[in-house]
Amino acid sequence: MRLSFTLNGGSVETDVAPGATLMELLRGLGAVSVKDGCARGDCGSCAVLLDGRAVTACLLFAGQVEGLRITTAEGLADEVGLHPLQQALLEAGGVQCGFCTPGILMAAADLLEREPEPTEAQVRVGLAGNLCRCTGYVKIVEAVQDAAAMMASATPVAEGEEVGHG
Amino acid sequence: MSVTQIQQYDRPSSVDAAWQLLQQGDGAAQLLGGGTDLVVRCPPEVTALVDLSDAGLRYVESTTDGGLRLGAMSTFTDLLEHPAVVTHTTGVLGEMLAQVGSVLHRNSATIGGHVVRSRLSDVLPVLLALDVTLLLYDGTERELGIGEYLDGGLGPHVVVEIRIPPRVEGSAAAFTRFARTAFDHALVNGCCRVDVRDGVITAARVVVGESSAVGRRVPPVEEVLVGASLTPETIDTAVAATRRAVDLHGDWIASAEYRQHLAGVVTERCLRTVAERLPGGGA
Ligand SMILES: Cc1cc2nc3c(=O)[nH]c(=O)nc-3n(C[C@H](O)[C@H](O)[C@H](O)COP(=O)(O)OP(=O)(O)OC[C@H]3O[C@@H](n4cnc5c(N)ncnc54)[C@H](O)[C@@H]3O)c2cc1C
Repeated sequence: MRLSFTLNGGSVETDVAPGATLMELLRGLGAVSVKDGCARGDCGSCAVLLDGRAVTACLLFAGQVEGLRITTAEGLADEVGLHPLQQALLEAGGVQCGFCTPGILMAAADLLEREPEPTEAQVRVGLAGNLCRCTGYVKIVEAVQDAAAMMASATPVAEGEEVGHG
Repeated sequence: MSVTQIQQYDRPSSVDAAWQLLQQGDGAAQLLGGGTDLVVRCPPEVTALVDLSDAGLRYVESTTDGGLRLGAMSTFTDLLEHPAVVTHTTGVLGEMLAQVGSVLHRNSATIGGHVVRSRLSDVLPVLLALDVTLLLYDGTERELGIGEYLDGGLGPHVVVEIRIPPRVEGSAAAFTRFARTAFDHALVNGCCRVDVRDGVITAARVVVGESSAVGRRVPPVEEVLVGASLTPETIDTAVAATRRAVDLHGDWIASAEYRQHLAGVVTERCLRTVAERLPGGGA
């Protein structure tokens, strides 16, 4: 079937099998930051933003995104540099094998959009659907709070602008 | 992973159009809500999906009498972000919704899909305790109590709306769940609501649920409560009555004895919280 949507700010029109998941569609389009972890919504490594809300791409049929706006980790950095969340994860040592990192980035991006100055408890709730099997969560949680601080001190992003570090 | 047998995918723009598509092919078509259940549990005979995204079912409305109408395609996040939903009957819906899965899951899962799925649920005990009704469509509209709905035996239908009655004056409710970790399915969960007039309980709902089964009201405990005041002694009696009345199963996660014990704990915690939430802090 024919499907059109926005991926990381660009229009996409593509054919897709009616039973394909969003994860398969996105990986097929080259967005390989969308990791195939558990394929049943338990690990969060396939999280993407769908109209600004973080969802597990493995538990959506591709057809559900018709007309909607998708952001993957590929869409976070821009030509200027990394998104503050990416920068903060690097600096805090919140990345080891990196498999869970894209999903964590997207869940954290959703959180910071709604809660620009999250408490530690709010970060932990925001990341409750993302599993990391390497680092433990302390550095990841710290990094999200560091990123919030970085974003607070940066120039405000214009309303309606794509997620990016601006 | 792809659900490979799916050949057709439609996004009808009305409930009636969805119903027409659902009837095609004798069980080959299945309605699609958020997809969190269907993607991993699509029956092999299903070859067509009827996506309800465009059917106008994503809304939350307050009625003039203080009730709520939740469109079946409202996600748990939609509900958690709606002030009238999270504050209804002393905040019991907000308390429960915040404990369902993770943000990732609450952003996709719909209340309609959840009700139809009817298993492993933290949501249904609260809907049962609030005497919720469902608006269904199967060619014509009809309204059915949630308890009757869960008894099953219905033919194909679209769940259109979940209707939450207005809060009964002098009522309070509480939900609690008991799981090994926050993200596990509850071993036992429960919800209690009591309506109090002049210090006396005029109506009570006590619901106990367990993983793999759907919550059920426990009438013997409700009978203990009605006519009494919600004192610590009444709560003790209700806890003992719960353990006598429920018959929970054992499996590799927890023995039947343990679940039976937890059922009492759940009733006790809910009723204690209810007592605190009653106008004036209860008895
Ligand atoms: C990772 C994960 C964690 C979870 N954690 C919890 C938890 O902690 N507590 C809890 O209670 N639940 C939990 N759940 C269950 C979850 O809440 C349900 O999967 C979800 O609510 C189903 O809704 P959906 O919209 O995704 O349904 P779908 O997958 O879209 O549909 C489910 C069923 O309902 C039918 N259907 C959908 N909408 C309608 C409609 N309007 N009318 C008629 N039929 C319809 C479909 O045909 C299908 O049979 C969890 C699920 C996952 C995947």
